[in-house]
Amino acid sequence: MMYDAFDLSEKYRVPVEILSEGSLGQMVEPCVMPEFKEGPGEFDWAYTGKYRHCRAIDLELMPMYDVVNCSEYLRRKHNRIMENEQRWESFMLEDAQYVLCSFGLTSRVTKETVKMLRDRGEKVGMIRPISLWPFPMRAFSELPDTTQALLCVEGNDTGQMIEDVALACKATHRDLPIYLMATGQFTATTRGIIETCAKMKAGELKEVF
Amino acid sequence: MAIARKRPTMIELQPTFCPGCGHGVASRLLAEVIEEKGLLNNFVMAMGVGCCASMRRHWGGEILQCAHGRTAAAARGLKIGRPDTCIVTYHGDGDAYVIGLQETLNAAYTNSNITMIVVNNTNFAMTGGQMSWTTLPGQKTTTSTGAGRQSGVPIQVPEMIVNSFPDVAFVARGSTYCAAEINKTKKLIQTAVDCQIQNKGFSLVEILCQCPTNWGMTTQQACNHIRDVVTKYYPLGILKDVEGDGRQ
Repeated sequence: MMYDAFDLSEKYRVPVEILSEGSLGQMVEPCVMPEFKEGPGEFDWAYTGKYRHCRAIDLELMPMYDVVNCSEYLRRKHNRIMENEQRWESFMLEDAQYVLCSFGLTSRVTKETVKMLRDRGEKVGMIRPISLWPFPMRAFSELPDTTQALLCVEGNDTGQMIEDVALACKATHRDLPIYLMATGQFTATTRGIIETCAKMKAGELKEVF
Repeated sequence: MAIARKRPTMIELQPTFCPGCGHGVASRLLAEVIEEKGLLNNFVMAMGVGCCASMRRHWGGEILQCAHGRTAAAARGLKIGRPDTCIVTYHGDGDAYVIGLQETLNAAYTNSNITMIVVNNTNFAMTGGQMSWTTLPGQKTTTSTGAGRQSGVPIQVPEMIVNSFPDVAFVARGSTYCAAEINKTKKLIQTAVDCQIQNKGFSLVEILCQCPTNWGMTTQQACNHIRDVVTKYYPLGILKDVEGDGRQ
């Protein structure tokens, strides 16, 4: 992702932010670093120190300084990123009745839970958004018709992704109930997620959206 | 009509600073120094956010508009990427001393080979004259009435840098309140840029500028205010010169 961050930032000329977790600094795991890549060389927009004429004169070169067409330019770029850069991981979505949505460290536990539940014959799947923005709306348009509800499993106390999930469902014209399991003070456990799933199925959990 | 002095190449259009503002003089001095040193085609200016940001509308040359306060950090990045290019930051006290204090001190701590030009007008001028850490005791701003203990003793970042990081190359304070000081300030900027060209390390020139609009004064009153009041808190002169210490 770090390579992607640089490449995307240079492709679209936008800042790219990598959101990470504190646990990464405390975990001990083997890790394979990607191959080193050569840099792309000089860009025509790079700062070289060579004299350029005033931006206010040269609007074609610097659309950001063109107050009339700037909005249109930014909108086009924004839409292009929205279209091309949605990233997510779908896991065991086929014929899933219940879909868990999770990101970060919690998503590892969620994935493990999905495997355990599938082994028991329960039809669950998982969506793990990778890009925070653009939010992977398309992941939710691929939900199977069998899906009855969504459960957001989040490693925070209030549910920070659930609104995006609700919007994504609305965008795909699916009126699915969305539940929340938020565990900010500790990392979610497979047992905890399985219990919450059971409560959700039994109708004991209050839907958020 | 005869033109008394040639306009520097970099100032391509009519500046849009307030009437009487010291920025016009300070930025012109920088433009003159860069041109006189033959750096027009080997110069990038890292520009802060504030009144100076309007310069992108009338200045030519390479200008990098940095995020607010992150100017020194961006300049360090530019210098790492282009070690042979002259990198100068140009920003106000709000950008360099308040929001970007961390970046300024980090650049000084690492003795990065960049030149910082900081225009100090003792308030956040572009946003309407709010209190800054450079605001003088009793100074009236839009967020301090001038009474009580709202404003404290102003921060002296150049002194702080010289005392904390004695290996920096050049730190000085000039002003634009009168012709004599303007000439001295130009020499300070020349020395600071020279330090960078000769790879001597970090250089910073603080320029006390008048802000008639936000001080509620005429230009002359504002200039007198610098001479009589501001310089009491901010003494002019060279604070550190790697070639030899001593005040002007």
